[in-house]
Amino acid sequence: MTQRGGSLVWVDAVEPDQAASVAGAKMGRLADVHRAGVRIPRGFAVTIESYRRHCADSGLDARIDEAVEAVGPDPSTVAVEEASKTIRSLFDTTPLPDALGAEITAAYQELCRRCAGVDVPTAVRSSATGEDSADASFAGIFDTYLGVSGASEVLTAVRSCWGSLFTARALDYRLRNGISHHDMPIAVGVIELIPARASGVAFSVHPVTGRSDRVVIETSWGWGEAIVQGLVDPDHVEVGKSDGRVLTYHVAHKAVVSGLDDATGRVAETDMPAELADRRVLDDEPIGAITEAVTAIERHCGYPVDVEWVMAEDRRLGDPICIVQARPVTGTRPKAPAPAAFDPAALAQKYLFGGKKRTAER
Amino acid sequence: MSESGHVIPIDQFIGREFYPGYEPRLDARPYVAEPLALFGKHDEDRFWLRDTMHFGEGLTPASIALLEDAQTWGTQLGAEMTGIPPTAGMVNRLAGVHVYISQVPITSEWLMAARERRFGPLLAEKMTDFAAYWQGFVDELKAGYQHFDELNPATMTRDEVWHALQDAYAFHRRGWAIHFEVMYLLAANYLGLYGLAIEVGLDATEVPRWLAGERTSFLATDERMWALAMRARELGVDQALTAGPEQVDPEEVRARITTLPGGGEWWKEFVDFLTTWGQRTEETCTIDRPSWAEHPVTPLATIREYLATDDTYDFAAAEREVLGKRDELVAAAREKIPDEADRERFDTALEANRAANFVWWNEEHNFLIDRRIHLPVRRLSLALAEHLVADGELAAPEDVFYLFKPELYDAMAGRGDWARLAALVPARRDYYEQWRTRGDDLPPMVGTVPERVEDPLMTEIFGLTPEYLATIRHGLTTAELRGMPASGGVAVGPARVVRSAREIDQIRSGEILVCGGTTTEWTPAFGIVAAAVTDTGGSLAHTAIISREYGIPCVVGTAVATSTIRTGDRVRVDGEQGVVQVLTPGDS
Repeated sequence: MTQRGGSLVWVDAVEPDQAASVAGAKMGRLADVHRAGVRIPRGFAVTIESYRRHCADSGLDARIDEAVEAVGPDPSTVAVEEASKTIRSLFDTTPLPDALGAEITAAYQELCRRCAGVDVPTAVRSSATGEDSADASFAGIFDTYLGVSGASEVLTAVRSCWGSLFTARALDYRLRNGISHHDMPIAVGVIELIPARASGVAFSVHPVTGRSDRVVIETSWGWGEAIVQGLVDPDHVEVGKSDGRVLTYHVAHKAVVSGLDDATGRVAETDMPAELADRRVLDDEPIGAITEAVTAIERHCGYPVDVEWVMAEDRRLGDPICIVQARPVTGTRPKAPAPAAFDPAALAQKYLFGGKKRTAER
Repeated sequence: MSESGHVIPIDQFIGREFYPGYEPRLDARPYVAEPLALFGKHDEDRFWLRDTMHFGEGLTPASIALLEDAQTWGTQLGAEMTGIPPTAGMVNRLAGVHVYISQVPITSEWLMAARERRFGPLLAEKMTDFAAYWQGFVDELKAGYQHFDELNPATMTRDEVWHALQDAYAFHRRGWAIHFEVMYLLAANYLGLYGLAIEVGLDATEVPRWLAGERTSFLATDERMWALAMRARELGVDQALTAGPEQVDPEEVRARITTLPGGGEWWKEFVDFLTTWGQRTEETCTIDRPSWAEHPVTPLATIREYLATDDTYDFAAAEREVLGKRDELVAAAREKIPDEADRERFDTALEANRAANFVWWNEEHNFLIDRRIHLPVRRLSLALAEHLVADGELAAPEDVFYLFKPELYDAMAGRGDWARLAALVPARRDYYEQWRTRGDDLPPMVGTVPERVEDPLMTEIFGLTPEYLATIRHGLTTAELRGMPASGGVAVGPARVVRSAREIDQIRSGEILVCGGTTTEWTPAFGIVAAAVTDTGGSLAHTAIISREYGIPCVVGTAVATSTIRTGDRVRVDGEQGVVQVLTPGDS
């Protein structure tokens, strides 16, 4: 294992001031969460340097440039899609350097050892430079693979993540904005996939009103993909930040769940079992643990954050909650000054006319 | 309406014969946005709720004019005058003699925004000093009642009575205009507090409980009836009130009690009570029914039931308890607000809602309007009918209730055919009787059941919450019913399913009242039942308000209680969770 200029870094061991430049934005922030004293899953990152070296040494760079130049600065959608397909297949067919392959395999085996398991399922996540940054233009458009088990599958997933730098959407955006793909290289995280009883997102400020006196949590059973992708209506919880009291808990009808597909071993969406759909997901105790984690990260970062979290199947009372992603809150409204007087017409209009809502709008 | 809406067919109501001899007369039909009508096929695109809350027994032709004044014209005028943004009021359909109600929604975003600009300032102005604003209407209405009470129809000519009756109709309409102007404004003020509760993260379903405990004339009436029951014991005449057949006959009770020493004194006190507190009928707009003062079956049955229980009801203690509970809830809610500025907003909003208390008003106004405003029309209609009978134009005074208002107006203006009208009465009476008894079998809702309804009166008073609508859509009937938790506590007991106000006197102490939806006439029952459950009704329905005042558990808006639970079933009511369970079925 190496640090600066090396092929891989362990997320819990990377130097904080180098984390983002070595392991990309997403893994860099995860390393930062670890430094805030909050529990994160175990894992390592295939560094930006590894990606650069692979592209240069294998001749991929030249072939990518050729494909990109061929579409020109103002291409048609079809041309972009064609170029994307070409480049992504280049990544799939270009073998990894033997040395890097051996290093990733060894690191994966070390991860299995640390997790005390065999062929431990992992989340293989793209971690681009600039991804999830304040402008968030690229948030969520690079690939993540959930439930990747075994060294050879990990190697394949790493190459697919690299290729996802060239999805049609990313390519199109860069072409239109004159950004070279050389300026935004990508790292890949290989992180243990925590067996999830429940997951969700949490905001250290109200994401809609911008109110900073409360933590907002959304949650459902299983993994958090269905929530992040908006496929499920999650339970909505609001917590007073100063005293950790639950102010609102709205139990939603959760029709879809992200769970492990036995056939593929990957995380996929299926119908929620009927007995879970209307059940309240979180008791006060885990809500407290989530609130504690998200406020600790906000304190450490010095700005409002939103996180993705997982409650492990084997979590016991008092155990910390595991944070799998964190980023600055984007798109909140500035905090509106509280109106001094009671304006019933405006409040009735906002919350009730046009159908009564049970909780504040999200 | 929602595309996913579930359709309950209305074919059974279409193309059926209406009251014999009925001729649609649009020129005589009051409305602002949309007129009352019989059902047509196109009505299937909207929802129609059967209004058992106000008109469980069905309406005779003369009462239909009063329904139009109240629920069609009155709601629409109130919505138009105030400019409340999401609704143009309500509208009615008739299924035989029974009443269905729907909303006239406003869907144009421009119109809604324009109304919002108009509504906000008006609301602010009227809420500045609600007490004075409402007192102005109270004075106006009382002056009207005094005028009509002071008339002595026995000394009036046919023409004088006829002119007075037209005044009574005008007064009736004025009462409903006042009713819905105030109601829409107060509803919005109330929903403002509801919205604020949501905004600061409180449980908004608690809002009505924060506003509980303010005395209404209905509770005052009950208290006086308890006092009359105790007075009967004191004078040693209580046996005369508890004896006699199941069905109370006021004339027979009077004859029995006045032969006893002290009985005459008691009856005089009872008549004094009726003069002030008995100006009410069993249902809204139904002018064919006598008031308590005319025919005191309900108060006598209530007093008898009070005498059947050994203990007395301590109104002052109950009130202290309700107020104590209210203050506890408010303090706990306030404590939950993390932000100091929000706490101040909460205090302001609560204060504004106590000064203009919709929970209180929604009970109190019934005493002044809903149950009384048609009584001058009733009294003068009967007085006119006496002349008509004397002049050989009608066979009996009560026949006047089987004439539609335009028919009466035409005939009085010399444009009608009295002989034809008089001949129609027996067939119309048969039609009414035949339909009246069918009320229990009519669907609670027809047309397209929406996912939600926008009119705040529909949600808060009729209880058309998304949950209620979902239950109707799915036609759920299970051993466990869910509704809106309206008044806290848990009670277990035998169920008494009551289908109309006429059956109130069957209710026994300790039973759990299960009904479509109670009206103010049911108030006396709340002093003896252990809990109450309804099919329809929201947080501000009569049942919800009165249950809170009496401190008994209550679940409203279960949609299916009367079709699922049977009299004698042992049921458990959880007023905190809004759950009703059938523990063991009865023997029926």
